[in-house]
Amino acid sequence: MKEKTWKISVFRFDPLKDTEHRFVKYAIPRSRVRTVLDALIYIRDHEDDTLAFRSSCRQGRCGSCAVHCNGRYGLACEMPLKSGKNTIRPLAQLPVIKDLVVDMEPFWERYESIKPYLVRSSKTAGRNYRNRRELEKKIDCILCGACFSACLMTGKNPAFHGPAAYVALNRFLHDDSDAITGQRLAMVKGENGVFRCHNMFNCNEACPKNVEPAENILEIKKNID
Amino acid sequence: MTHMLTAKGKVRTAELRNKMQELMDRHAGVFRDGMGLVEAAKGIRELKKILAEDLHTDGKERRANPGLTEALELKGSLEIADIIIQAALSRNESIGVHFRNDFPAPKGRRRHSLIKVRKTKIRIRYTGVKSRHKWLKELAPGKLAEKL
Repeated sequence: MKEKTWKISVFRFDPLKDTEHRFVKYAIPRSRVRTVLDALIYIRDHEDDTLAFRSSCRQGRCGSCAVHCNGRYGLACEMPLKSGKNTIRPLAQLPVIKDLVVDMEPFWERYESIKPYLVRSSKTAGRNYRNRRELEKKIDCILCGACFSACLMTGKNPAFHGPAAYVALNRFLHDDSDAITGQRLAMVKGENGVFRCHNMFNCNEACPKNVEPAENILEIKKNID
Repeated sequence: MTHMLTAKGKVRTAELRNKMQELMDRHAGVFRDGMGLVEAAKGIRELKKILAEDLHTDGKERRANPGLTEALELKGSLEIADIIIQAALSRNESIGVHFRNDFPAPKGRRRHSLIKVRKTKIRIRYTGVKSRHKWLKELAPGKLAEKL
């Protein structure tokens, strides 16, 4: 009997060689593969080892394998394949380096711009994390970039910081020991700041760790008067 | 590295990697013995030969070529596998996590293995272990036997 296969169509593009992207079809035996990442690894091992994609831990912890598959963003290692056609694309809003590998620089630039680190003063130095519980969900973010790509504003407006950056910002707004709360709020107050978010909730849907960036953005908005 | 880019053989990197994993799992895992280790060393040598002569890679580019990365990683892994096997083979005793079925007890003074690789030759030297703490000295092979 012929073995059942997954039908997979993968985005292929090499900006230095190709003028246009193309989708290459593969058929992969079902018995060996379950998730999108399994499929990509199978293709690299058995069909074509020039297929470029990022991956590391294979268990949804590192955040390096974020892709777009079957109409949604997420981690390739966590997304199951479906029967019928599976289309795998790279993250949107970011320049493609090759195939499914994108340049995360715009994402990091904007993330850095909100100062995603604790700034203490002599006043706050001795404080403990009394509200540690509140921060728990916010620090679950693994910076995979799925929310950034799912968000329509990040693509349209290069000055918009993006959902992941706002989660980090909100984390420090909730932190008792942070000393520059006012400065942080002033940073995102402006025209291209947090109010550019139109509550489309695409980020919530994309987030593989259920950090709920949209809720975090709403919380920041509440803090601005 | 260049030979990996122009490799027009028949064997894919993944196939070689699987073979290496199977070999190491069977012979150089938790329980080791001389016969198995010799067999593993032979197997690894064969795999190294295939990697050098009969490797197949699809891409011919240096930039963003996962096939090349995989092949280079495999080359390193095979080297380390060889070192593990040779070091285990020359240590005819069981100590710590190194357990030999054919030599189940610690033997002689405790020592560290120091390995040097020149081209294809693996050289093993030993240095003594300096115990700084009293309790460590008490656990030294000879003393421990006395206590028991």
